[in-house]
Amino acid sequence: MQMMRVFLKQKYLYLMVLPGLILVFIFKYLPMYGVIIAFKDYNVFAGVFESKWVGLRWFRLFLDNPMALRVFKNTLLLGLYNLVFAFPLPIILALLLNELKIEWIKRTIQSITYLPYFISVIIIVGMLKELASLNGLFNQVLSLFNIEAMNFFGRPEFFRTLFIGSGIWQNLGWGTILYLAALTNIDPALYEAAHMDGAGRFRKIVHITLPGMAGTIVILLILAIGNMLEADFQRVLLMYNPVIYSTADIVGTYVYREGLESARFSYATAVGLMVSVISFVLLLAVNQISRRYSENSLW
Amino acid sequence: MGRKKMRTRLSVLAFVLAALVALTGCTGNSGTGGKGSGGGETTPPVSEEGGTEPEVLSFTVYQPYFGAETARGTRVDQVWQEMMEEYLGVKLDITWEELPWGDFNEKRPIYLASGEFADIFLLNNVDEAIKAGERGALVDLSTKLDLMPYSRKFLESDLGYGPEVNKISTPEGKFYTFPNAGDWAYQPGGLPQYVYRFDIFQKHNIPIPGNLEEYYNAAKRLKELYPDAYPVGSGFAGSDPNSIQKSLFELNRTSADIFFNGDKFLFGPIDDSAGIKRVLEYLNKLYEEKLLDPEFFTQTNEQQIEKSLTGKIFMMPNSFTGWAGNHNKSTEYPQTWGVARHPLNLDGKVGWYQTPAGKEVFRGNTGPVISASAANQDLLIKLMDYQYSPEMINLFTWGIEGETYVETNGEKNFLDEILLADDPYGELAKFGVNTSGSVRSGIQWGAQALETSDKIAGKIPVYADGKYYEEYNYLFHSLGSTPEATSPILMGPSLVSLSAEELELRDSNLVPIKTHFDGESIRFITGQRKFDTWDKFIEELKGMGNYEAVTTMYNEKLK
Repeated sequence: MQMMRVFLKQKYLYLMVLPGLILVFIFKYLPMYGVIIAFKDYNVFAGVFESKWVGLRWFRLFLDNPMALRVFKNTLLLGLYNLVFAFPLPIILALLLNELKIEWIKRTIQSITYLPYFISVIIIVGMLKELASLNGLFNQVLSLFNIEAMNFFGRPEFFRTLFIGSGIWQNLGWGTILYLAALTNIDPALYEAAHMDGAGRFRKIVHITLPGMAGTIVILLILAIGNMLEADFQRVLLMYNPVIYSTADIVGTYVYREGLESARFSYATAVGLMVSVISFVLLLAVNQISRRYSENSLW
Repeated sequence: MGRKKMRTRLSVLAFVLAALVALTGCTGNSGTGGKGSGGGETTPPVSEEGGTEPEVLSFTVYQPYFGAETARGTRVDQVWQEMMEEYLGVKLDITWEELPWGDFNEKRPIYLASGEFADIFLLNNVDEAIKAGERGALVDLSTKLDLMPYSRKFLESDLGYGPEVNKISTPEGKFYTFPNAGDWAYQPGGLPQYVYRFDIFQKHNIPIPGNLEEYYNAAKRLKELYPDAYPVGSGFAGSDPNSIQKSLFELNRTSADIFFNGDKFLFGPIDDSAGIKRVLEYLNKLYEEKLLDPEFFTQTNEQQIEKSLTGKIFMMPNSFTGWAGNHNKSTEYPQTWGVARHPLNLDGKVGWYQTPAGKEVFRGNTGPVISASAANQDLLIKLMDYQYSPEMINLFTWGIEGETYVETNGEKNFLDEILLADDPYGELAKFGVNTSGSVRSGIQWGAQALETSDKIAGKIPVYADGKYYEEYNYLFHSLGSTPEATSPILMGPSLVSLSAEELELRDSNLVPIKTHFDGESIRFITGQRKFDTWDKFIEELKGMGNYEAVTTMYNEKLK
């Protein structure tokens, strides 16, 4: 009854949410029926429902594939490295920006760090290839130390560094936005009180700023873990070549190459579905852990 | 206005907004049940028994275009439509759905997955055509040969190892694509080409290599003269990282794929492991001595061109045909690139590189298909077939008499204002002549004759029999053609036809092996993997798929 009353009171607000809900339903939920083709031998002409049912054939085919373990390992490692290196950096940058007192310097740094986000990933990878080429900046720096020029994109051991590094370069500034927004919600009176108590900058960061951002950090961490297996497929596709498949071939590129390019749609869907299920389980688990040990969770 | 009234209006507004959003999401091809969007919606279909023909033939075409613009509205395209209408006896109402070549290829898998096909569309992959055809999505053309008098001669053309149609057929003889065929005046082939900086070779009196040992010696001499350079570059690096190996494999009479060797089918990486290893060792020697561009498998096409223009590479074993002509035009970086005959291989023999000789042969095994749900299928087949008629080939190749070419004493020549222009291809593109390569009229691929490519490109520097001179590019290769240079690999598709199920068997077994091979072969060349692990490498390949099942299947069919 109480709920109904609240609902009726806020009915116009709910009405405003309705178009968004309809959009999500139409473009995110309705197409989900397509996952059925992971269990069928999808025939474009017969359609989704009339195609022959093959059960777990495509899942077995993938798990029997010698490449399966490698692409899973690569995907997982890229996700982990991204979490370890790329996730904390926007938090650190936001904290540093928050400490800057001269407004124009703060704005300038923000603009400079935001800028790469608006550049197409194709351009970013193109620039990276120029920088990493034999005559590029990286090799020019190495030559100062008498280190022989090397083909960075031809060495599997450099791929993860190049991938994570270019991701940080492109997304660092943009990633700070939510944290900076969270910082604006912290009551300035807390800083004043801490100052009166003799707290220095570092103590204020540890005891006021970080706890003030904790909710945002945890929510974004849960989402990041949920997306851990969804490495930036487009960037990998632009950056990899056969010689670095051993570190660069991920589920997304494998599905693209073996599934879409070879028109094996059911196979591609089955592999994609497996990854989505694992991601969903990860998301559930992390959310559960977070709910148990902190006050923050997605639901 | 009362508060209540205001609320009511707001509610109505919100609902209208929501409904609009929902409707926007629902628009699009609203359930034609897989019918071609243009076909037969306004005109009565022709029955299979030859019922009423429509006054207007409406249909959709989905295909790529190659330059900045499509051919719609060009003179040749207008004449194409007039000739078609006269031949078919109906007016044409065509809805063209065209995408730039890159986008078209990128979207092809999605397009195929959608099941919503245009009446006629280009399938740039014969395996996909067979798979889609066997699932009933495409018209089986093998039952319609009586409607195809013009394309039939291309399909039935036989170069001595079976009719060309075998290249696109299933084991039962069904086929679904009109071929990418041409009327060649002489033998095409010779690709990839061996190109050299003639000016540098002549300046330092370095002989143009006659075999791979001399090729290595020439590179070594150039390295001494230009220590900062890596003399041997690689063509196609931007699009195919394994291009240089492929070129040398074929020169040494092997392949990294399943191939016909003139006697039987082999899977190169395992069945001819010794031959493959020798080539990789040769490339490794070039790499270790800094003779081979270390970025041969990672660089973009732009990086490669920059290197050639700035004197960082002097020879390439896998160039495309336009390389010499394009680079020699540079006024900012004057240089002379030329083409020479392929060197002899590691055994001192002539390598495989020529395509089999003969007129009316396929240029590629792919082409336009007709959707099984298209209306007026017989008329569409006749329309497609007419693109292979002599008059249409003439139109695609030469354009319009008096406007793009003249014919004197039976010999055709492009008009001087085209031939003598700074950019003859660009001039042809303005008219929509397919020879331009960029603006192509009609439905792709239209049949063409090849000799015009030489006339437009003009002569380029060449080297053969100890002499430097100038010659037309394709003609140069044609003149150097010998039977022993004719690659049996290219005969393979004519000898064995696979069903969709057999294609799946082949791909599921060989693709993992080939993927691993592609990466590791580069690691062998670059020294990241040592050759003393070769036997282990072969065992790794064997563990990745049942290659023997595939070669057995091919060889069983060969019998």
